[in-house]
Amino acid sequence: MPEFQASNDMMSPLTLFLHADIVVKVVMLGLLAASIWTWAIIFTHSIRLKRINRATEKYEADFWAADDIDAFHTKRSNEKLPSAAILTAGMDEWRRSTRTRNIDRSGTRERLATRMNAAVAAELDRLGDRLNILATVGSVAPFVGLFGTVWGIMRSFTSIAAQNNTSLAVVAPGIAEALFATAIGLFAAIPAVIAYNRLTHGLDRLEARLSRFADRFHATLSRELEAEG
Amino acid sequence: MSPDRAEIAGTGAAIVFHVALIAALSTSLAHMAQAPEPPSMEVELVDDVGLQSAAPQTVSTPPPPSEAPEMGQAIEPAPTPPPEPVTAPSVPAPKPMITSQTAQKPQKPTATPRQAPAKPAPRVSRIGDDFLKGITGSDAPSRPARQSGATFDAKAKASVAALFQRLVQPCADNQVNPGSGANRIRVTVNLRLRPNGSLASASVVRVSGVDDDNASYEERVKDLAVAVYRECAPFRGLPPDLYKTDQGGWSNINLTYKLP
Repeated sequence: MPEFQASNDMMSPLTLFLHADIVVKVVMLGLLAASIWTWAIIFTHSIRLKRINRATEKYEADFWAADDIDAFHTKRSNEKLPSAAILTAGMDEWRRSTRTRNIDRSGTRERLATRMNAAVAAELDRLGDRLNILATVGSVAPFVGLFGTVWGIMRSFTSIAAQNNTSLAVVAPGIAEALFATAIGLFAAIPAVIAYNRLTHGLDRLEARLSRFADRFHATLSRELEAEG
Repeated sequence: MSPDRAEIAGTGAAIVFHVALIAALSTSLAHMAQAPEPPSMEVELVDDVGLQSAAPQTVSTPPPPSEAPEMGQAIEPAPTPPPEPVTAPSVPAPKPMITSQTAQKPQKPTATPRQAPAKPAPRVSRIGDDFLKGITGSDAPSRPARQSGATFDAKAKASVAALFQRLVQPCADNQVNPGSGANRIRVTVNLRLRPNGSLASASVVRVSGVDDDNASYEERVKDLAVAVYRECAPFRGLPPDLYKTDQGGWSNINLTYKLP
């Protein structure tokens, strides 16, 4: 029973949308799409970041517990993890550099550091993909909503002028519909800004973690390099 | 593989979330406490700046019976004679005495009583007679019921009306007349009140007195009428036992407003 009553409710989103001007409708649809996209990114990245953090922790613990780095690499280098990519980059560079008889130690160290830093950066680039969309939605959506509102209110005032009627009943529905556009804009923008900050913070922490892993691995390889000679 | 799956899952979750949110807003969350519309009877109060409200109603109920018998008498004078001699026995009583003396005269007296009752004082007695007839007729069972309900209601209404008038008057006096003729517009507003006297809703149900001169003020006066009740909103001191009765109560009340 309440459902049927609600369909006539002035505050129902569908009612507000259907009564709105075409421009306001387009704005509302755009903002709704932006909101859906925002939340898709939020869900995707939150799940992915959590999973990667947990897997990376386990991977690194296993790595430092392993006796033979080569054996560990051949066994677990194909895992889809940033740590595995860093490990692969380091081992690849190590193998190439130590293939020759005369080893340039400082040059090898430099190349190892560069390769592994590049691997960290590449992984973060991949993970940070689409976060810019959150930033864009967060900053632009309120303005787009405001545009819809301004347009709708302009139209409301035009209708007042046309009807020669200043009654609130003439103005109020139009303004309510117009304000709904701003509401959707804020509805899309607020989670986008919060999620952007949160996910950026999560990525920063992951970057710090990967850098520490890369540095430690670099130190290990560097020690090995001295032993080689 | 897994990131793609996460993306699909994320997009699906986002869509489901939005659909659920819109559905929730459409059904219940944005449902602005619209009073559940109790089927309570309406108390028709013509509360006004003038006191026309209670008076016309109380007066209007008695007149119909008195008018109806009168009309009945006027329309059918022939069938009435039988009761007439009964009601006015004093007049015919001496006449038979006269008729016994003269044979022609009786016809005349019988004619004269027919005419005479119509002209002189006997009207009162006739009305009384016919009035009783009418009551004892087909209307008899329904009328007492109506009267008892109406009189009870009228008393309660009158007291509630007076209360409302006292409460609303200060706010009504504050209203500014938007233009000439606007004070001829009478707006009946339906008020739904909560037991504590606060206003649940106020909506215009009727507008009268709109003519060419003041048509442009109609909407304005409607707004003003609603504003008056909103302004005075918590109505204190209303009898709680009359909030909702079988004959209605002040929970659901129609008040007619007119600009001063």
